[in-house]
Amino acid sequence: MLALSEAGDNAGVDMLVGDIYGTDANKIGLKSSTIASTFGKVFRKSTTRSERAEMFKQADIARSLLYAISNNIGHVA
Amino acid sequence: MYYDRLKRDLGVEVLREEEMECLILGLGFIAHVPEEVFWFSEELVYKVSHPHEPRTIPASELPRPSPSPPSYQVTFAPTPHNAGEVVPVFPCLVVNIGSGVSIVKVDENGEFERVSGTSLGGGTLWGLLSMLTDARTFDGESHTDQQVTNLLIPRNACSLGGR
Repeated sequence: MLALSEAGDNAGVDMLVGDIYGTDANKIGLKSSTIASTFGKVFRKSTTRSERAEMFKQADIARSLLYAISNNIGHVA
Repeated sequence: MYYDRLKRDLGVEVLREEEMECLILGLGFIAHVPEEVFWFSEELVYKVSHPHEPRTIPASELPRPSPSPPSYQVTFAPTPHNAGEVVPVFPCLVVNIGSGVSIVKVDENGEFERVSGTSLGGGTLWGLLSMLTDARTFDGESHTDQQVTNLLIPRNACSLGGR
């Protein structure tokens, strides 16, 4: 699982601050590479589950989940 | 992203405004609507779900680690009676729940600072649900008009609204 996540890029499934505000610095002061919403790019209207499974790379999903869980642990700590 | 489409398809003039400044201005406006801003409490949830029962939550319904739990009350923020009167709600924390979550501290003079937040939010729920289940829309059925509304409203919502 870790090897899989190593090959992935979480920008494929995660919505980043840069996806929302563009590349310019925003007023809140977050970097454009900061994750705004984990899995924020996955939901598309009127697509079936199998279509979505093809649309997103397993490696990207693995990396996104690794970031989400790790960040959450760090945040709670 | 929609700037050019709105301008071309609707023929309207689009003025860009800064998101956070609009949110804080809106917060000031909402504070002037009677019984719109309230202190969220378990007591309030219980009152709505058990309309005919006494206001106090029985201890059995609310298991707590503490032997002497704090008592809650439904508390609405005070509404100003005169036009110029300032509602003393600042400084406050605005919890902006959207595709992700931001917690922003807002001062009396409108200055703000992001103090916390998480990337786990509505977008994560939608994303995971759409990947793990066969559900195709959030509501269950496909409402065409609802989809249009969702397109026009940015992916955020202020948790201060009373609805």
